[in-house]
Amino acid sequence: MSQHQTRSDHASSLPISLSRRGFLKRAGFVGGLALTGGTLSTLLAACGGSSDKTPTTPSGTTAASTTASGSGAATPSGSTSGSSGTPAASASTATTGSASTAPAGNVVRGGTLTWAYTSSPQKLDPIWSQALVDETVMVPMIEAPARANRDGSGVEPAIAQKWDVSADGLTYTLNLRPNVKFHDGSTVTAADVVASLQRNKAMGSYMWQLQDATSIEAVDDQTVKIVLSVKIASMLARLAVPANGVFPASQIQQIGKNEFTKPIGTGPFKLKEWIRNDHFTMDANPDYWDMAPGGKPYPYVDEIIIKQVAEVTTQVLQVQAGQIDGGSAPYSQVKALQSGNKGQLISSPQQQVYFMVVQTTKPPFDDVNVRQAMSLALDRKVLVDQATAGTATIANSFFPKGTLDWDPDLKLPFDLDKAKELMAKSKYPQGHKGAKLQYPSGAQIGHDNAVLCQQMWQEIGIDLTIEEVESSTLGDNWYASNYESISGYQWTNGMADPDQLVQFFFITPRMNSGYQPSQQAQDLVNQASQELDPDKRKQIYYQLQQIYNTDVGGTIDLYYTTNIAYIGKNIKGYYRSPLGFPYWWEFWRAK
Amino acid sequence: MGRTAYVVNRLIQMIPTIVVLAVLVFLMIRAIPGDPAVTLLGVQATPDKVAEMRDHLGLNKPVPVQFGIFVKQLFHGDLGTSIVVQEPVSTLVRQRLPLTLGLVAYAMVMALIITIPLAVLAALNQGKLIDQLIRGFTVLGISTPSFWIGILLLILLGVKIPIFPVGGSGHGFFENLKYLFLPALTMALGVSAVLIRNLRDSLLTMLASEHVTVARAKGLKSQVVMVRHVLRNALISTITLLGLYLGWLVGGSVIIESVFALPGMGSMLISAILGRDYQVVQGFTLVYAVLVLLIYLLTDLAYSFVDPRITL
Repeated sequence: MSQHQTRSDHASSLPISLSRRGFLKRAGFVGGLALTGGTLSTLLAACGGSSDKTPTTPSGTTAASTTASGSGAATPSGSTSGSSGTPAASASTATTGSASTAPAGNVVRGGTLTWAYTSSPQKLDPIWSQALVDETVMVPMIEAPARANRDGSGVEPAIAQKWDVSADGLTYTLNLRPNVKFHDGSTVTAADVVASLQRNKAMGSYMWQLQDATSIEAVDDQTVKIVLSVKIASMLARLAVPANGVFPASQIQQIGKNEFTKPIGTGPFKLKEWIRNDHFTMDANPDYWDMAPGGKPYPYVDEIIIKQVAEVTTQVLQVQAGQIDGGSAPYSQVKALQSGNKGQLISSPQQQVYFMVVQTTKPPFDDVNVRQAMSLALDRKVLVDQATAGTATIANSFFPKGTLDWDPDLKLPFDLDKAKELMAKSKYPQGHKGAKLQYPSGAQIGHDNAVLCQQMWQEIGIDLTIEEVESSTLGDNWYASNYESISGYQWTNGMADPDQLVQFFFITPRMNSGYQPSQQAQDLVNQASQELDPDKRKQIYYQLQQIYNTDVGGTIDLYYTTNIAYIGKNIKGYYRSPLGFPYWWEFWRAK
Repeated sequence: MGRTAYVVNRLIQMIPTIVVLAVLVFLMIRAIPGDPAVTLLGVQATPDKVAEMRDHLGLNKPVPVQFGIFVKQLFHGDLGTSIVVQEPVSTLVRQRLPLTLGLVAYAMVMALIITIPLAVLAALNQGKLIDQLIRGFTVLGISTPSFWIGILLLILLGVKIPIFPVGGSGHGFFENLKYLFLPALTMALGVSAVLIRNLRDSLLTMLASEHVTVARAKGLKSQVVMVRHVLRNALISTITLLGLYLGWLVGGSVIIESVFALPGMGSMLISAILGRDYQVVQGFTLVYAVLVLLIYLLTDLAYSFVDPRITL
């Protein structure tokens, strides 16, 4: 749908960054368009009686058509780089692991870090922003009352230092941290928080988050009270997403209905320069409230520059040449980079699941036996090994691994015999041929998944026809439910709570628009949404995951990806949240 | 017709061309499927959110009204504002055009520096080893994808022997001479491969012509014969080809911009097309079209300088 990952509080995403193959195809289109402009100019100029000596443009020869023969290199999903690595991660090790805070004594403060992304930030207003890459710069600049914890499975205080929830679960009283400064030097007050939350309730793409808040008001300068009309178990997680980021009330008033392009936040970094589709520079905020070990505030570095480098291969070379400090790496180079010594290859968990979207209202996917058989016919180990160079893990649920209340004991087994039995008793005992399996142009992983799954499904008589479709066009078709099956789509959590994930798959199915869950399942979703007891809520979510696996409700889950980052040998303190944003404030460069 | 009158005439002729192009581009980008609001929202796209986003982006106005706004803005020299990044398109063009133009110009100069000596060398040594080597080089240059040459150059001269930066752009003219050297060389290698073959053939034809024999018979030095009587005449067809390639390179530089991480026009246009950022696509395509028309005009003017027999 777009070349970048979309973000949201309950985040999800369609396609992904471009592989070189995909890029070249698109570049061909652009080159073609630009040249078409030229060709049309010439033709029209000729019609306008230009000189006989006016040369004609070369026809049928575009930069793309002459150079698009390059083989594709799978690009790790996501336009983001970054991952979790221990500060002591040695060069050229593949680190998969938990974050650890840098030892205070050894940290070197100061300096500039330059990071590459395949796409660049598009919007800096969290209520309108959708791209995951936006979040990588918004999170360090704009803070909300709460923030996601390190493993993305809960929340912790941010601008609000503590909160009280009333016994009936309907009133949230936020006690603000004293003396938190905006980047313009003013102090955050309850009025600023109220104005910011009211703005998110009134407009933008995340209005639903606070739609059940009947009042949001300042009790005094340090206290905000939110009253809800219904219990919302994910309320604190909602207060931790960028859309509820806090801006000065005066700036909100000044901006009116427009978008923020120069936001003033309270985060460890502040905006210095934003050249669209080129680079983005953030300066350290010397007044940041959060203290690093050792008693001085974060961040460690003075400046972060985010550069757009569309080719992942170029990012790798730039890291090796010391020109940038970090970026991503293509799957095709993972093994070589692991054994090299010019940088650190870091693979870290992220809450992302890849799946095949199948339209449950269209043949042959309209029979649950077929959908179950298709799931059983997939050898997911082969998919992981061949499509992601072994970096992903096999999926067992539509919940991304690491999501709060993800059930680790579920299984999506590979069982060809059982799959064939199910096919035999389905509406299509002889199999089915010709349903379309589409993937977004340029999405290498979408292509690879499609080809591998197509082969595996042929074993049970399901013979799909693969088609590559321009990503925005496919997005439109998906939006209109005008598809049979789609490869290359995925869901990425952006909120540290599964509430919106289950709403999205069960109550208002969009990704899986044909799915008609049972009334029982829908009741369970609503029950979980209001259940404040964590244990009871977990059991409900376990049950929903089981139901979805049995129904195969419109997505056939494949694997959970990890994020692949390739960073300089001397970069320390590197950590990337499983929700997708790097902890820039903890990065530092060893001498 | 004098040169000035000719130029004025051609510039006037460009106006209807550009107007028709503007209309075509406006309609074409809207005719292809893909709603900018749906594209921006991704899987977040619910009917409510799409309606809210469309309203926010100003897409709810009827297409004729949008076209009216576009034309009105165009007459005021305003290319509109990007619906995605909320920046005036003219600002985006101003930020990115110099680099693309600089890169193309650098590549063309480099192509000429490579082409002329090698073509002369090949022509003067027709059939000998040196000629065969140069012709071999041209076959390689034509048949090798430019992005691959680019990556090889980056690995060789950026990482293994770190003489040049691995992509990116610098500040100021002299720093950019260094930063843009490898991308310009990549483009130049592809272009010069074609130009060398063309110029070599023209040179051979000229070398065999009667007026060159006469010039030699008059006792002129061989360098003088080569420069005044052979090269000057042979360059006519090469200039034609050069003009064509300049137009081609302006549009085709997008791949090189991507490989070398250069913030030029092409990478922005790609994002705009994928994100259905209508204003940016319209504005950038118009700028490309104007550039191509101007390049062809300059090419035509160049003939008259090289060959006085050609009148405009």
